[in-house]
Amino acid sequence: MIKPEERIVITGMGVLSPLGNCLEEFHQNLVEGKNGISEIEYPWSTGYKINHAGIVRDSASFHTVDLGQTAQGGRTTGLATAAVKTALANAEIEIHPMANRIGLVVGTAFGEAPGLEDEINDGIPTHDKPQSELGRMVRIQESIAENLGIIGPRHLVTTTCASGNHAISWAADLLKMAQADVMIAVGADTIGYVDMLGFSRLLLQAPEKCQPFDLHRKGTILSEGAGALVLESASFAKGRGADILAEVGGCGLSCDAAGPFESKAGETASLELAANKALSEARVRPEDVQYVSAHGSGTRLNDVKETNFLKRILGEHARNTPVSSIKSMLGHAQGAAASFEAIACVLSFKHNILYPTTNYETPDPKCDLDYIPNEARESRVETVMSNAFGVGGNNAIIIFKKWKGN
Amino acid sequence: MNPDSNRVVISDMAAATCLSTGVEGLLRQLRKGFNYSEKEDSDSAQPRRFRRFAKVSHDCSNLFRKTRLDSRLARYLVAAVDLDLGNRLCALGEAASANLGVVIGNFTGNCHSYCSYFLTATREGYDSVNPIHFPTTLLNYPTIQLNNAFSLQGSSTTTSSGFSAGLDAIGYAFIQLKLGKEQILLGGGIEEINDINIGYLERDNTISQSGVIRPFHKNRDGTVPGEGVGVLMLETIKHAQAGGRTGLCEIKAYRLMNGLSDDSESIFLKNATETIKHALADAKIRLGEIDAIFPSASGSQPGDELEGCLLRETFASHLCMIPIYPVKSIIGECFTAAGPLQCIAATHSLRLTNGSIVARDMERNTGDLNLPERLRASNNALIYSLGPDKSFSVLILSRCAQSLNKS
Repeated sequence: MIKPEERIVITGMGVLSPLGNCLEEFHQNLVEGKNGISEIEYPWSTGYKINHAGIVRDSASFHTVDLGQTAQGGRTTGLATAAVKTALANAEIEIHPMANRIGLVVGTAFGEAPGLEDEINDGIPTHDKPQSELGRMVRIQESIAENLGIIGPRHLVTTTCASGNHAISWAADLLKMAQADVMIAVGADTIGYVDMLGFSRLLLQAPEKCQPFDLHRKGTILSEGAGALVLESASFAKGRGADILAEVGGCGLSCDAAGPFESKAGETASLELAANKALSEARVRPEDVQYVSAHGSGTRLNDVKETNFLKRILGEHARNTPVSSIKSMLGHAQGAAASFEAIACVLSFKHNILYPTTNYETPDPKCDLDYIPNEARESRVETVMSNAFGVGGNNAIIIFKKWKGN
Repeated sequence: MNPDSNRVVISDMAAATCLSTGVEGLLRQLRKGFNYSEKEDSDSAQPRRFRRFAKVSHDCSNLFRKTRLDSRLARYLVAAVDLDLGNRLCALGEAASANLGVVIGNFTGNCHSYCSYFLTATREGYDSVNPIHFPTTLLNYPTIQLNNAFSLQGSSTTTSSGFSAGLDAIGYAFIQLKLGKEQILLGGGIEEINDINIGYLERDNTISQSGVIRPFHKNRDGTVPGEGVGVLMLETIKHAQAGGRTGLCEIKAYRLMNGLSDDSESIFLKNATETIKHALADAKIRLGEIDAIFPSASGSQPGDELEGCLLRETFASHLCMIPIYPVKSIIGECFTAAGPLQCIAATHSLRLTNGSIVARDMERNTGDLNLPERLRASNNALIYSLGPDKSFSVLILSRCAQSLNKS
């Protein structure tokens, strides 16, 4: 039975990121303002100018799945599978008794395309390759399902950097349509040569560090990872006695509908459209928003545009609303970025702390809000807005709420 | 809010196939009929014999050269929508366009751009790559170009859930409208022929040598790789009425099933049958009320056999009375574009008024399945997409009651 008014809650999370492969490590490193960006080596480095990125590394807490033993798929699938498995374990959900009632929505910008580059570089014509390798470019959701035995509805959405929030939105909708009892929204991406090159050639990449909202910001830094959230209807979660972490209050989507190089800092109508949809669905007013997890990619245009948008949507309240971008520490994980930020919002509810924007050295007059510079801040918040703005103009905004039961 | 109050209709359509650009070209071929006969001199419609591929037709190629986009897939998506829906989209006005979103299913569409970009960079050097070509490597590039072309700011979603992504995109749009999150959306699928999708067919040895697609026919020898565009305008009935538009047909239900690759045939059939029955329950339609089926059947030996088993298992004794229209025999195997194109054919049958189909003695080559030569009027159509990855998506469309179209 369709229930548009059903409340959707989060009961489990899993993360593999440059700042840790479990929630505790992720949280602690964010609080301490650790830097997840490091120097990397690239196989095709001739003439290549950028050699910093955020990479998921093995750590003492990496206890879920050895990526090398993933039955199907490449690195992106491996990261996503591990995140999903952790999230389900945290939610205390066993797959097999209800495998056909557990679904999956994957958000990704490039999927397994980086893995495809190895094949292309070998010079072997792609049509000679067996399907299992060719098809992995975008069939991550299938591979995750095969790895874990999930047979509920599965989808893949690709809206570049907004993919993670888009996956959460779609998963919530499928729960309201009663097409599953549990939905897992996972954002995942790994770094390939094409996206590193693409961002670099468009002068969107910084050489060493990401400095969102800083006057001297030089761009973003790409990274990789996976973040998974387990979503259920509130009634189902309460029925099985689940520990509810937060509520997905509302989701709003929009598109700039301008060319990729024609977006202007003052044109925020499409962002306001997405925000108003999310606020309306969440039944909150703009002044109820107590914290904004910014897209904050560190590019010259985006940070100003986002600041202008927040001033318009929050009005006078914008000056009193803390805003921060954890991309300053994690880098820009593309399809996984919004998932990281969603997980961070939920952890903020749990720990009563707001994560900082690090590398903030010089204020920009055009970006003049409170960006929680360099140090985490204790604060009890109950309603947060998480922004995700993708290359090409995809926008996805989610309002998360602290779960207060009835 | 009562979700039953958000009834969803298809109010317009756009298409580009190997036949022509524009929905009318597809409908013209459907009116000519389907032919499974092996006798090419029969009085019935001639079987369509494809050359190696069912590529988007030449007139679309001419049309889309004007759009100056860097991706062939984006060009013919915009061209097809412009031809069939351009006037309507312009007539919506700025305010309405600002709220109109797009959902497109696209499976392998960017692989050519991605490979080309990568090879240029690695073989000719970092500085040889044109920076503005980077967005074309993204799978959502064609969808974004459609948003840009008509200033559609509602949303822009690209789904790539496999072979059924086009039907899933329509399903996603239906869900958004049903939940009251949107009032109007464009939903559809696009595909172009490339090494990946040809590779799938070659790997499974399902490419026809004869160039003729004969779904369910005992002498079928495979399918023909194709490409195309199928886009539907979906609205809530209230929104359509407020804008003075009528519904062409109503979308009653959408369901999706995903199996595992090592599922036995019996498990797949059981789950797929349940999925169809769930969809019928959602639509509040009885099994016996389905009077047209638009299958995924593409002429492949194993694929059509599996679909035949599915239809028999689901419909049992009703099956012989239900006409089945394998649209891919006309348009080729268009992968993610096929589902929306099947919907367009179904919409046409739901608009016809030439009387209901009567079972007839069919040539035994098609077994017990009812495969008429001509598209006939129907009231409730089942459309499904089945991929070799065991993804199975189902849509149920119904004829619009007169009352729905009252202003």
